[in-house]
Amino acid sequence: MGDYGFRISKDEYDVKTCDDKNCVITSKYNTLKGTLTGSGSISNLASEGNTTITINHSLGYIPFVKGFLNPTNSVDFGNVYYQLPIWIDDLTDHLYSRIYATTTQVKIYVEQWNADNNTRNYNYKYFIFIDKGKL
Amino acid sequence: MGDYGAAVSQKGYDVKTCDDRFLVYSSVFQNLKIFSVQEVSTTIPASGANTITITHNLGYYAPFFVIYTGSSSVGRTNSYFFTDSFGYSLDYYGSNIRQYTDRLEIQVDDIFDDATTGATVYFTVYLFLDDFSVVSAKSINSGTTSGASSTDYGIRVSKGGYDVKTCTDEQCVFSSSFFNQIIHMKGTTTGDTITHSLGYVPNFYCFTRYTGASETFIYYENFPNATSTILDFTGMGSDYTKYYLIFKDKLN
Repeated sequence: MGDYGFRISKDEYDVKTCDDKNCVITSKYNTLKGTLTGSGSISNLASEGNTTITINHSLGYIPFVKGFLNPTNSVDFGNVYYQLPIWIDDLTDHLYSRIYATTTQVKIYVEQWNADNNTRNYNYKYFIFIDKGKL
Repeated sequence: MGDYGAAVSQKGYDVKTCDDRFLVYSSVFQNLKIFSVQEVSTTIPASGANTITITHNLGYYAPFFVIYTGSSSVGRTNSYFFTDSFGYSLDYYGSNIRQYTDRLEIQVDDIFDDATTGATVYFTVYLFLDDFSVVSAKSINSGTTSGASSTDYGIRVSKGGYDVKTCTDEQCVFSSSFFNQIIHMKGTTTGDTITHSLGYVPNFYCFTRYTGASETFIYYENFPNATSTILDFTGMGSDYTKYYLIFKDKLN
């Protein structure tokens, strides 16, 4: 392989001599390339309930995926975003969620058990990359 | 610092005016650079644990992702981000992931996944070149509007050995057809929170290391979380060094 390509260094680093890790980007190393991102909500999930969000994709292989979950009205967890997977228990709320993928779909599974017997609401966010999750 | 450099926006966004999160790259911001990606495997032992070792010799702790892509027992239809097929974290029950400054180890116990002794289990491991030296928050346009346009142009750069004109998108180092993991901030802290100043909830990634230990951990009881102002590690305590990446991507 010939020595060609391009590199862009961070501020204050000499692009001709700096380490690769001090480059903003370089054609020597691949980057994760996102192809689809989206979000949605889950309303009134039963106190001892679960649900699976399904997102279709047409990549034809299993992609690299990431997901986040935002409990919006839990007693214990706050209105914040957690990166999946998550498996957290507190006095009232017990929450478990994960993200996985097939060659045609990405799925976010959410399961909960709440001591106060009330329903819960969630927002979710996912990122699907063109890069492969299964090589 | 003078106002110079280069930037490429995602297809459909005006590079001069779009929000930072719609850039494919900018010389102002860093991207995660993939050091290696590989499939590794081992078997579920009858007792104890089998360990997969990926030697990287980087000399520092680097970001990584591990995806369990199934086994000869449960099948390989589904791939799970950092969990087994039942949803147990790969760093919690039946398995452990530990990173050292020269290697990453995946330990598979006899109770991993469906606990079928002798089953071959497979993982995809992404390891990145970037370290956790501090990058402070920088923003050019951090608003929530896009400046989108419909013009279909852009650039693509292929991996070594692939023709940029004919290779698949997956064979590109980057392309303006796709969004990228642009880093807003990164670093380490023993504190409880990091203020990010983006004004929206950002994509993030982190792991931790008990101060003084040589290995890192991914998942723990007190999960980090993000709001529109902070990345929050409250509950983990100052005994742990937290390694974090905050990206430009918007979650909310």
